[in-house]
Amino acid sequence: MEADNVPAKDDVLHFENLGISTIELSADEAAKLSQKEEVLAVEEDFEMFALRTNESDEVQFDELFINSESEFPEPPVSDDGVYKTGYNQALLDLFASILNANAQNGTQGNEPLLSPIVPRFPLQPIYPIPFPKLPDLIIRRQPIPWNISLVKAPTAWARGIDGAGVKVAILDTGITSHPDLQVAGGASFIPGSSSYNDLHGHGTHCAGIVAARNNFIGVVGVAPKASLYAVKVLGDNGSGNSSWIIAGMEWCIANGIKVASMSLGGTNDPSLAYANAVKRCQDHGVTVVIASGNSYGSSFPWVCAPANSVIAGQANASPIAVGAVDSQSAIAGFSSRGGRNSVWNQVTCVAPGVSVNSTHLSSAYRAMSGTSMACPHVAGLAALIIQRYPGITPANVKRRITTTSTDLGARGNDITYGFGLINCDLATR
Amino acid sequence: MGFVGYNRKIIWHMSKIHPVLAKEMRAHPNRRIDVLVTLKEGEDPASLHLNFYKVLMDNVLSSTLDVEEIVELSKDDQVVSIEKDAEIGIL
Repeated sequence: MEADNVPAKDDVLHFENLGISTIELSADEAAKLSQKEEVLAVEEDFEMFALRTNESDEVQFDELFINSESEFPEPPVSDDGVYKTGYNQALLDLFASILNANAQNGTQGNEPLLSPIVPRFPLQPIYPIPFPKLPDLIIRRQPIPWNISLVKAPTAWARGIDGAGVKVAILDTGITSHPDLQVAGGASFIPGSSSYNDLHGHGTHCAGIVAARNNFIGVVGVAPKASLYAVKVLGDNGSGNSSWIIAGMEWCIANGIKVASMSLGGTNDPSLAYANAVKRCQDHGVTVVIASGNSYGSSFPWVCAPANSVIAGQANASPIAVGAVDSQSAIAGFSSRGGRNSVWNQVTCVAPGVSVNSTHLSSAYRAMSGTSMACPHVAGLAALIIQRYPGITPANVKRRITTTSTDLGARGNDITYGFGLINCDLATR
Repeated sequence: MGFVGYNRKIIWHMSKIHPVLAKEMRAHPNRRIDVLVTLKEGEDPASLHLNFYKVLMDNVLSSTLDVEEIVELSKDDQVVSIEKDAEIGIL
């Protein structure tokens, strides 16, 4: 039907693309209109209803969308069956049209143009149309480990400070593939091995504390959007030579790393080689964060090498040395202390390091303890600060960390807690 | 040269030798030891005339030396310190 021929009435509704118009007419008007040559058909505008299938299918439907049948309103089918009648009439018309079309076009031996359409189930209309109830939504949230909450990292994330774009290197046993980690690259300094894959688990654990992804699974790191780099400087037995570690530090300089997280050490006096390496790193914009050691209670209870590195008058030669606290912010019994020699680098600050859950081998998670676990919290914080203040020097990263830490133990900087527990929120404001 | 028979001059140079390395030298005077050598800024490692060395950073290198070589190296003015290439582990 051509739209131009539709009588002009206020209540006409014309669907141009379909060539169909709706209009309210009397029976006589409809009869006259149907005689017009340009009109293909005049049909009553039937009321249509949503369909429901028989009970067997209804159960499946219910299982998908509703909790109980009682949540469906009873279809108000009237006793006189007016809805059923209308619907049945529509179906009969449809079948008649199909059969008619087949009779006209389904010539000798040819397949009919339209196959008979037979509804599989008795159909009945319902009204009003029930809006399917969606299954109860499972709100998936990233579990926030206690250690991440304790250092107030989520508050920094809420302000968009999540470490994005900051390169953090984990100098350790490597990093293994894990669904909660995204490793951007790395290198191995283990003689005879070019792979930075972790077969020990320690490096992977530390990596998760820095930057496990904020992805609804497992754990999340302090700086979940930081770029992780695996610098394998310790063998799969968990130990390595200082020369491997210093070579790894040089790699950090050459590859634009902004934070070097080093959860390693030995009960040695300060090393000038390490002090030079730390200084060179920090002179080139690499903030060096090192675990203070787990030797408290041993014959060497002081801050271990290389965390104790120092060169008189060269502040950049000393790294951020990190001690460990538990979930109550109490110092861990094993956490090495300052005090042997006031010239040595002392404990700078503390972070969670007792029963810290993080990523491990075989896509698993494991709780581990040590200043090794505390160190990557501070490395993650350094990444947050660098994102917040691009171009900040390592000396100023350290200053922001120490001046914003929550004082613990003896008032002010002390040999046990240093400047206290790190605070990611304050440090990134 | 035996490590036991060092003179005063050597003692002065020994200040460049890290205590842990000195202890190792005393304990094993005939053993070759993996060491880290730190030079003054800007010095050329090649001028040390070591048979074998690896530059780790511009002024830090590693080598394997016997006790006599370590003592001789400690006399070089370019050298700031000589340390044992100590084993480090996870914490």
